Amino acid sequence: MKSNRLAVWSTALTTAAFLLGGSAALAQNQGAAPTTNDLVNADQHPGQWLMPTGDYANTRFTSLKQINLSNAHGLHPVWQFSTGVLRGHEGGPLIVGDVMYFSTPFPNDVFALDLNHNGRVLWKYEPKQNPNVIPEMCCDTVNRGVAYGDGKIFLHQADNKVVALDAKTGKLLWSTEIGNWKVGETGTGAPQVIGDHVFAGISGGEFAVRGRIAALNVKTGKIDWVAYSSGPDKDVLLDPQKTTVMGKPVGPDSSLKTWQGDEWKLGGGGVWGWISYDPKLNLMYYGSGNPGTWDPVQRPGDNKWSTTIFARNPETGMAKWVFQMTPHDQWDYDGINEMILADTDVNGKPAHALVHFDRNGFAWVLDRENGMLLQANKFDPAVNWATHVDMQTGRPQVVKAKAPGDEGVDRNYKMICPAALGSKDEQPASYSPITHIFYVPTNHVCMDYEPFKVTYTPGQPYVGATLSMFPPQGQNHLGNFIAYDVNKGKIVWSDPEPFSVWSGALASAGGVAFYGTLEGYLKAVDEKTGKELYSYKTPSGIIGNVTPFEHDGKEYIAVLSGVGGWAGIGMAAGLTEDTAGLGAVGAYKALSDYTQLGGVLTVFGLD
Amino acid sequence: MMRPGALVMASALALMLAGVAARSAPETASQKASTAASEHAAATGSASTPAPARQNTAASENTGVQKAGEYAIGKDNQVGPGLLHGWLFFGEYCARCHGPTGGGSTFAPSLLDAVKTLSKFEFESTVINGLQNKTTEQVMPAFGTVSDVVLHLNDIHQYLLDRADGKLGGGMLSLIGND
Repeated sequence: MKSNRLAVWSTALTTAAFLLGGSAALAQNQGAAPTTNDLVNADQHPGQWLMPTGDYANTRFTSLKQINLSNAHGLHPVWQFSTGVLRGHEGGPLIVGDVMYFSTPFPNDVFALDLNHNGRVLWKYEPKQNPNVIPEMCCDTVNRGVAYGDGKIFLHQADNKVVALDAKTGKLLWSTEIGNWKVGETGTGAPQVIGDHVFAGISGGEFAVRGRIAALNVKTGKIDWVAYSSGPDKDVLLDPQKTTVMGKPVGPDSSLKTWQGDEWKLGGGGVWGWISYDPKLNLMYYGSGNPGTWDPVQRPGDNKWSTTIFARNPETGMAKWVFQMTPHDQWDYDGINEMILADTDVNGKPAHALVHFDRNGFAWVLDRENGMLLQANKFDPAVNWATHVDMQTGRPQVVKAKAPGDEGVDRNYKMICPAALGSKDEQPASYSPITHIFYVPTNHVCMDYEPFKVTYTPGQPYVGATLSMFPPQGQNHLGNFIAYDVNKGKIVWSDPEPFSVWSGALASAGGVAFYGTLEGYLKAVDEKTGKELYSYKTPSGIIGNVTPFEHDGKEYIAVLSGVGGWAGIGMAAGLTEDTAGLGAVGAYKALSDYTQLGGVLTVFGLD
Repeated sequence: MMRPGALVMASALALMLAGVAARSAPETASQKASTAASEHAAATGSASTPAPARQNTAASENTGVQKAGEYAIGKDNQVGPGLLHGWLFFGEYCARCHGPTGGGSTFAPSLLDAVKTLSKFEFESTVINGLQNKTTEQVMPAFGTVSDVVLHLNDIHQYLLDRADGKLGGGMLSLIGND
């Protein structure tokens, strides 16, 4: 059995080498899997998908174009695979050579499937995790995928162990615990490999954790550095003089000064989103989550550096620049969404841009070298918590009536848009360097928000707010799939969806963009117009990310189904057959009328 | 006044939770999701009949509620401060296992049933000391060190009693006088 697997792997490697023919690194290293250097040029290996967001720029773009405008209508499922786990399947597979790798929700099984045999299982890794971890997870038991590098597959388990598995055999090579689940620190994000490090961050903004990111040596698992989102400069890895915000030094104690008392120790700022990297600047980019409790009254101040974009040196962890998007967050607007690195025109001028579609409803466009703000426009017209962003200070101009806590606790602050889910959550957007347009899965949801005072107990929730969610007034849908032009700073087209679009998008050289819906449809649309070209209903709602690959000369599209996540549980649930009261929802049916829990991988192809 | 839309959504959410989430593991009743949850009863206005205050200890912290008793139930899901806090802290600490409406999940039983069969003492003792079920090895953690829970045991208990009696829906509550 084992020798069979090795034989399969050997074939896989040969094909990998063929596919990666342009890689000098591989030419010198025959028979080896892609090296860490290949990750830098991931976009030059279009047949594979070496990291969750496709490339270090997090574009989720494929230059494959067999599937294109003329034939996308002919897509169909080729094979499917049941993951054996229900619950929310966020993330998506990696494709390395002839092998597909992906992880499941808790218990975080990892599968290696043989693409030469319609997804036959090469190996399966089954972590043993304490089920008491589950109630420490705020928003379903999701896991957003694995990372590849140095011949290893890296998984960040819910119990906060980061493990390295031999990509060929699934053998556990090392395991390092980077947080304590007993105090609410959990793992949900996909790791990222850069150079000699694999990076993983801590989730748990609803449990008063101190959010942080850890850099682990890929060979040994040793933690080389940790950077917190709040606290003293030495913890946040800030240099008061050299680290800048909007072009100026942050100064000493830039985080501590913005918290009252010891509240920073419950500072939140979880790090659970995607990580991008610019090899030329040698800077990695990621965002931090919401600050401490959702009761803003308990934490006066800007609460830095929650809801912040960090640009760090991946070797040392030192921050080159920071930028906070929602000072003194009163809405749960985590800043963890992906940072897409795009060299494109902004406001008519060429820019080395970082583009970030934030929970708070603004599309932040910064110069990724120095963190200067270039543009910040709303990408959902419903956004009403702030009127606009002051381009001099970078601060959103908050509408007082939409600011929970401003008139104290135990009050209901009504009709705030977007809801805590944000105008967009973790579901990654895509960017086509051909059209220079961003394709963005969005939420179109508002909320009533009622903060209340809570007392911290380790391992217990530290939320202190309750809310209800609904579509914007007079509207009847909860999501849009949009095309956004950062040069003009506005939406090009917008496809309404009945529910939040909670699936990672894919753009392609074939002129086709892809996404999934909460009801379970995999959709292909024309990048120019948004016109639907293809739609297929998978067995469960899609909150996974659409993944392209090439095998034996043919292009395929893969996606995980499995409704859940925050949207699938609370949000999508908000629309059912009850049509009384708000006429706009009359056309809706319950999500449970469309789909049920599941866990299925579907691979689509052409004849 | 609660928005009709919110009621619809809240009602819908409860149906969803009954249909899907509650059958999955309990933790699906995530803290965030659960905060938005409600039951159909909330939307249909079963809690709209004003009830006399059971206690008349005036609320000290909020001027908007001084006219109301701690456990008063007013119109439009407006309640006295005791019930409000019972609901809030139930949502914060209990709902993630016992379901956003208290109706239970695959992870933990319905509190709406338990509150009717347990004496007040048994209820408090279970919350404070936790529970070990030796046959399934499922454990209810002890909340004796969680001050929000210990200091609001009466509020949580009364909230659950009113839920079990159908006097309150599982939906969003606000203080009497909060427009």
